[in-house]
Amino acid sequence: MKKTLPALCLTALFLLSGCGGGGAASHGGKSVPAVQSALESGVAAAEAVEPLAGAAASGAGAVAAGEAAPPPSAGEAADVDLTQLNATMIFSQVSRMLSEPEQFVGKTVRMAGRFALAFGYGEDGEPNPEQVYFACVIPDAAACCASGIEFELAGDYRYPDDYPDEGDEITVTGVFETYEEYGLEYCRLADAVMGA
Amino acid sequence: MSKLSLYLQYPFVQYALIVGTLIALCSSLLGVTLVLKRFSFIGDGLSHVAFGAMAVAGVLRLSDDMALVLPVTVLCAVLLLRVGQNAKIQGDASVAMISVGALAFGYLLMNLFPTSSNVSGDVCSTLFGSTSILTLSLRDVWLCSVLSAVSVGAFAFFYNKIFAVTFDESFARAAGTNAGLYNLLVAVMIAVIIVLAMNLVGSLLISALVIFPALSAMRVFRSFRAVTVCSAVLSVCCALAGMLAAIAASTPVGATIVAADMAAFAAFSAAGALRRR
Repeated sequence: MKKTLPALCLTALFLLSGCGGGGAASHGGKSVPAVQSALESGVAAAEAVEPLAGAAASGAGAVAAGEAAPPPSAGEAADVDLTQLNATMIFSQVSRMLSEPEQFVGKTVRMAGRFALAFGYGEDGEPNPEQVYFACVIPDAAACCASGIEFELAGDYRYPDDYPDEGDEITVTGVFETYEEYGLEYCRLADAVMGA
Repeated sequence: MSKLSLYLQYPFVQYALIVGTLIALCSSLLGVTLVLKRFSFIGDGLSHVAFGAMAVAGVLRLSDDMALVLPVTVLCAVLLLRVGQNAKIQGDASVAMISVGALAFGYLLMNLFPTSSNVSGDVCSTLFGSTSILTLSLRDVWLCSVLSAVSVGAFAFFYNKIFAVTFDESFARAAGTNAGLYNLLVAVMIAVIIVLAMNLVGSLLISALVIFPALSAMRVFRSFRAVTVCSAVLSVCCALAGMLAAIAASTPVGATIVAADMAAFAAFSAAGALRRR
């Protein structure tokens, strides 16, 4: 009886608890790959998470809260420089940015990847050529677990004249922000510039 | 090395190392029991059940899929481990049946009712654990830590009973041990650890995390205690090495950890062969 009761309590504890997460799969459309996902994954989950003590503010990935930054230039040092990370780290960092956007709003982000675009849908459910979304997508080796962030260039740019071809390698620097559209919150790099 | 030390400053890398180490420790402890009871593939089966349950949870748009995944996986673990011996369909066949059935059902559901526009990416990440362990939140870390601590504590507290039930269940019953209850406890612990381990290595590779450390230890050691301790140490070392290598070299985390386990198995097999000469 002495050890039976603890065993039963343990069993009940296991059944009543659970470990969340599950990574990319449970983030579902909030993480990764192709254009649609990269753009849909901008739907931010407003989870308030305390940063782990010891998270360093290095030149290649500062995560501390900061004030809103002015529009960046292409050569300016970024608060979050994804060009210094490998594909695995980029995927994880972008996942974190999209799941905890409040930690990154106002920060200058630089990323390099492939140019991608997607069209919005009108009320009739058909693609709307006037509503275009642009993203920088970074695929992994298997090209199934890519990640990316939408961006909006500063200035007056017109598609397709002022944009590269889909799939071209680009480097984008912009200010991370969230915005709301059709009742959902999305993330993007605003006032972005393309360049080295 | 400078790159790796830079990466180690990221919170999600620290979370991954903490949770990965705990998961590896828990899975290795239960792995010894599973290997000795000839239920090595139950990890595979239960992970596929969890995959199927995750697909159902996605279709039902549950905010926390663990509310469905964990109970379903625990139930299947209990059915497989407690009923298998007296069932019309014996242990390995029942595991295989449930395993492939759940996997196929889950993939079918995810294609019929996709929760994102990149089903293949979600499936790939869940099945192979390419980067799942690197996308945990602080809440996930705490929950995993608590469950892992309880699992390790339970294993240590009930070590003698688990030992008896593992090696000779009939004798344990005859000696007055409530073997059914301890089998239930082991089944529940296995299910919980399997669900946790899916974050680390994915559904398809969980068996490696459970089996390889135990088998490697058995190449060299003979006593249950020595095998258990060696298995735990080996599993933690291989998990850490695999995660660090995957982060540094940008390889899939799950597959890299399994590769480290395989290398350790080869090394221990060679050491065991040399020792026997």
